[in-house]
Amino acid sequence: MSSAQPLVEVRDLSVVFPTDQGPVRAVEHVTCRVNRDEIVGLVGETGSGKSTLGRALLGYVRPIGRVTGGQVLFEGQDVTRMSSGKLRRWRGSKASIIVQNSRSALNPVETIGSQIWAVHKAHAQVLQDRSAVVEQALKEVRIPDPQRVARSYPHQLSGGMVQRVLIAMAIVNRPRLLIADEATTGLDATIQATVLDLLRDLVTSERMSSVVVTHDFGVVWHYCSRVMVMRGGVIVEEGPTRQVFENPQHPYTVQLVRASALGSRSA
Amino acid sequence: MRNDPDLLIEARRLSKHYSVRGSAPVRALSDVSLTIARGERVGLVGESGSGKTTLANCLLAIDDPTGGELVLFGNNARDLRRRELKQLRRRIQMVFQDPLDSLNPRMRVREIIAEPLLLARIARREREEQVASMLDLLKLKSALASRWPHQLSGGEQQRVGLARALITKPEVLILDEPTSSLDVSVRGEILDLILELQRTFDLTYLFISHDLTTVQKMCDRVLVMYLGRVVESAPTELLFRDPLHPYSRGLIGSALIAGTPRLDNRVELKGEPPSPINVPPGCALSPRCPFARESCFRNVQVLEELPGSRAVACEVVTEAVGDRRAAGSDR
Repeated sequence: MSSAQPLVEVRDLSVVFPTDQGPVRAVEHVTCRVNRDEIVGLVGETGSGKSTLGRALLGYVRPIGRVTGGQVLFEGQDVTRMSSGKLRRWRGSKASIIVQNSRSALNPVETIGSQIWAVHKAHAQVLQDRSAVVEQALKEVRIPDPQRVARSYPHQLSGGMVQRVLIAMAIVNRPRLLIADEATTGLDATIQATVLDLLRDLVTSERMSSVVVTHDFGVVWHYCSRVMVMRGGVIVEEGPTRQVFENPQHPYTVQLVRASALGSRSA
Repeated sequence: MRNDPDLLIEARRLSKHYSVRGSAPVRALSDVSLTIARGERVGLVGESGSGKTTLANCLLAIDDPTGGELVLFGNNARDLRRRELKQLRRRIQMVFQDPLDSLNPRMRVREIIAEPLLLARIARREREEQVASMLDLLKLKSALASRWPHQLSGGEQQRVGLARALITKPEVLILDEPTSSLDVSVRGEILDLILELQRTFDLTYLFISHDLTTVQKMCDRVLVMYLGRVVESAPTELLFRDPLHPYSRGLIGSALIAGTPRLDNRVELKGEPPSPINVPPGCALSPRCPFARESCFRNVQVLEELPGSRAVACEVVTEAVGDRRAAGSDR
């Protein structure tokens, strides 16, 4: 594993959310990395801190949460110390995120085309022709009728389509890192697999790195070469996916693997 | 009427079309025939909008079908009086997807589990005893009896849902996505518990799920639904190893099961499922199906029995299987 080049290195990171009932320690002293050209799974249950960690890789912590210690080094730059303005500029071209229930991540009163264009315009070094950029972006995510979709509003598209549009927006500026946070949860099985296949193909062909945040070990097994298992704000196990799956060490991973692999065991 | 005591539920060409003002009816269920025999563990899979829950509601006689017949324990529902139907329905119980939503927030666990007994006019003493043994059976601590539903974990809530369903000693359970809202590690425990209860009480169940991993673990036989119709029915192992219907091949081919590679003969379906308001004419899958030929766009496909206790609603498949067998017998 020594040949793997890290793109992001997380060192002893802690993230806290202050609440009325006292601070919630969502991430506690986590050290991990995302390598170049890899798809890594971040798996855990509701409340394990996996989404908080995923977001912290992009510097999405403030204003609700607070980094109380540690660093997130993205190509050597500490994301936790950037001002919010700098962070915004930096993020658009370096890293992006696709979230669950993505329809709410889109502006309901703007067309898909103008939203894709806005993302490109905000971060592109060289502006290109608008309709070409939009059409190309939608074609990349294999949308069959890009011109019609560009003119559509979010409510006019199906869940699977919206997810493709979100991927298109996330990669239009060719980020180095793509976080998919439960990006296909809630989609029907046939659509989930097509969207994940698409995501994997794009990440591989564009030589991006990706973190797939999920509760589903099945997704990890099929798409991620490496996995980090999170529980209670801590990474409890990490390793190559097949190895972790076949020989889980931590009792929690054992439980998770057992529950996800029902099909492979005879009753 | 057939009088097979082990045939608990029989649906004959059940349909349920909901009329919608100013639009075509929603064809939630069309011509579904099925039988559930004593001790069987039947799975029902399909994507959202395929009619799984509508079918469950019709089998429970919660919804009146708009066509077809329902035979419960040898009695045709059509010939029964409301009261008689209610009596029969007691022998079938339902467990719901969202355990918290399906438990009365103003009742304590004890009251929730005992309610079906109260309705059956069972004396208090007897009720208390039965609730206690039910808690024990479902591995719920007796202290939980005086809690409110919102004080329980998701897994505990679903155990309470199961306790309530089982307390009247039903013969059939209809489980509608009973674990899909639970965290993965809890899911395994609940599924194991359901299997254990099935063996203990010789239960018969219909397990509805969109999660193929779960169905594979829980069922002997699986029905695959697409846009209101059953397109394939087969023993579980056979269906997952060698699905025949193009839709089954698409669905099972997209299952992401840890430790199991994707299906070799999977089918890429074009586009996305249409809404049940716009069910395509002929075979509903034809616009998305790579094997569709001209007749598929015209002819509604009906389930045809094939060897290996399976049935498929696709003329292309039935023909191919027929050819294969003919070629085999020539040799």
